Amino acid sequence: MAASNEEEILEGFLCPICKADLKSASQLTNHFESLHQEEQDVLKSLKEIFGKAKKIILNNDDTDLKETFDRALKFSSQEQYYAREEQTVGVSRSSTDYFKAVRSARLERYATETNKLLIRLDKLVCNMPSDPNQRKQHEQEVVPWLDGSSVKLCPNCAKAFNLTRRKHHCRLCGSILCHDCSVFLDLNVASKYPSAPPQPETSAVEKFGLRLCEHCYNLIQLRRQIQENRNVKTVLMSAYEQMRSLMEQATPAVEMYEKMCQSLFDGETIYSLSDVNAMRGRIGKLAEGIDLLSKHIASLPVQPGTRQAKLQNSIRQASAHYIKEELVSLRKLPTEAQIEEVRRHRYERAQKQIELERERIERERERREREWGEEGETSGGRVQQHDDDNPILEQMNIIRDYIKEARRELRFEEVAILEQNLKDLKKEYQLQMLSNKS
Amino acid sequence: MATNRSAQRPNGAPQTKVCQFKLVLLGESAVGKSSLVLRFVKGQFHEYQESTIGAAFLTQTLCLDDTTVKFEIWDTAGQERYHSLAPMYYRGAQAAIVVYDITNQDTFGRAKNWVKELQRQASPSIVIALAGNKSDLAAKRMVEFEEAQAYADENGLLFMETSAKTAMNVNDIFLAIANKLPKSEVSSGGAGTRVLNDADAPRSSSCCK
Repeated sequence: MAASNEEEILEGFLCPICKADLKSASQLTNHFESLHQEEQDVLKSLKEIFGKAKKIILNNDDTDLKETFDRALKFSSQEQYYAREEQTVGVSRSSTDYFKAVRSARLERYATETNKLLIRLDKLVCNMPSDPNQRKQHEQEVVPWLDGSSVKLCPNCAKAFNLTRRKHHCRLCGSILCHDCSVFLDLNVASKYPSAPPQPETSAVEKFGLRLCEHCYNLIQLRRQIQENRNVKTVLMSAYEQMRSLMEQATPAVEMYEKMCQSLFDGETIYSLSDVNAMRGRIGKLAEGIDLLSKHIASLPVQPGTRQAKLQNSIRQASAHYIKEELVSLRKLPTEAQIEEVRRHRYERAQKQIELERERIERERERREREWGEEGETSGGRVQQHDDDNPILEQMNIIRDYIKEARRELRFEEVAILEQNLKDLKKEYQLQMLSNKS
Repeated sequence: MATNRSAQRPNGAPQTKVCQFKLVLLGESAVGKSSLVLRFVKGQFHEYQESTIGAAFLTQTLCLDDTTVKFEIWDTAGQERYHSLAPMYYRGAQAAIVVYDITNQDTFGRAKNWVKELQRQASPSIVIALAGNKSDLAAKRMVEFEEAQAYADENGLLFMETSAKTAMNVNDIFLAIANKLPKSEVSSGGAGTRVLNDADAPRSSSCCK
């Protein structure tokens, strides 16, 4: 069929020069080679021009580098023959700057693209309407969707769109793809990508997920991986944190120990020797734990001479120093005999004081009785209970139980508080007995 | 000594001040003192909480901005026969919670008596909080909120209506007390210094009683 109308679209095996329709590919080749021999030169030159333009567009350096690599490859294959021969270092040139330039351009391109996608993702996920229609509108407001009327095939798998293979859009770049080629991003995860706080109200849409093309999905996933890697704790770090927490436990324990020790030397009966020994044992255990962890840190595999090695060494030294200064140099405990003696002294002093107090109270009571006697009142004692169900005795037993419990769990601060209370109760009880006797 | 030690710690985190306070709960029996404490300390609630004998002892730590407040809580029994114990526990206490039951007018009257007693006998700097407990039973309310609020304002008390059952205002009232307590260096010496001081105090003062 000849061309009758220039505006009509022609189809078939057309000769590019005379526009004649040949019936097959071989016929067309024959026709072209025989009839348009001279025009071929023109074509060739045209091709060359296009090729050069292409080279310029694609950055000339690229091909330059390719040649270099090709040569290098050839060279290495030759090298196998001459491997035994001694060779001097030939002419060399550094391609690092070139490599860096190429890499940074590439990275920048990825980074900007990923950032663009992340911003879009953030906009999409934030205030996403739960209604499907509104959601669609919202999505198209954020990302302009490609007009799909001229797209006949899925750009990814090249299968034709039809009734069963519908056109879909990537929600991040707006390009068209079929359902099989789309990847879904869970919205719960999606809200975590931008560093903004996660949106709590995504529950309504979470079952859908976000339709993405593979390209966008990979970019986003890559970014997430980088972020996750950044937050991963190294073995060194977790060991160090563990060690620090032990140290944090050790410091108050040592303070407590000092206090308990002092209390023993003072002849107080709040803590027993076994209590203080238990505390000492606990500190010893903590020291052991710190020592083990710091040894572990120091023995982590590392290149000698690097900053990492220095750091590991410093940690080990610091903790060894800490153990030596703070945990091992604990005050020595008094012996049983010493304690006995101090306690006896104290007891004697206390007895004397109690005697004095008793006398004082005696006198006070006599004075009061005289006053009451004058006013004609009977001594309406404030405490009338008897021993069996005296609330003070009852409370003393309760406190004793508490002390036992606190002691068992090594909560010595509580022991001190409770012992103090028990002492107060005893004093109160004595006073009560004295005033009851009257 | 304690502060020196903490300053020497190698690159430790900035140490927060630790303050320890003695807090006592007072009020008529069955108003919910133990339930309040149980809710605050353990986050639990028992519908049939047993009646307290004597005084129960619990501790709980609260974290404020820059200080850690450790409460040494004495939950006294409300029954009449244990009233003689109460002075031992509010003596030397830095804070007290006087509890009444909003569905029972008598307990409010008793709470007022406790406040009076505290004002007379306890440390003059004691922080007193009034708690109208069982606010979940507002339908059976016998004590008006405004009445209690007015009383609290008059006497300079902290006031909240609480519910140990629903946990309403339970942490808040302890937090309000912690905020009102002075957190000077004197009281922050930890249990050690304070306990020692207490041990000294009765020895000298008991002869005048």
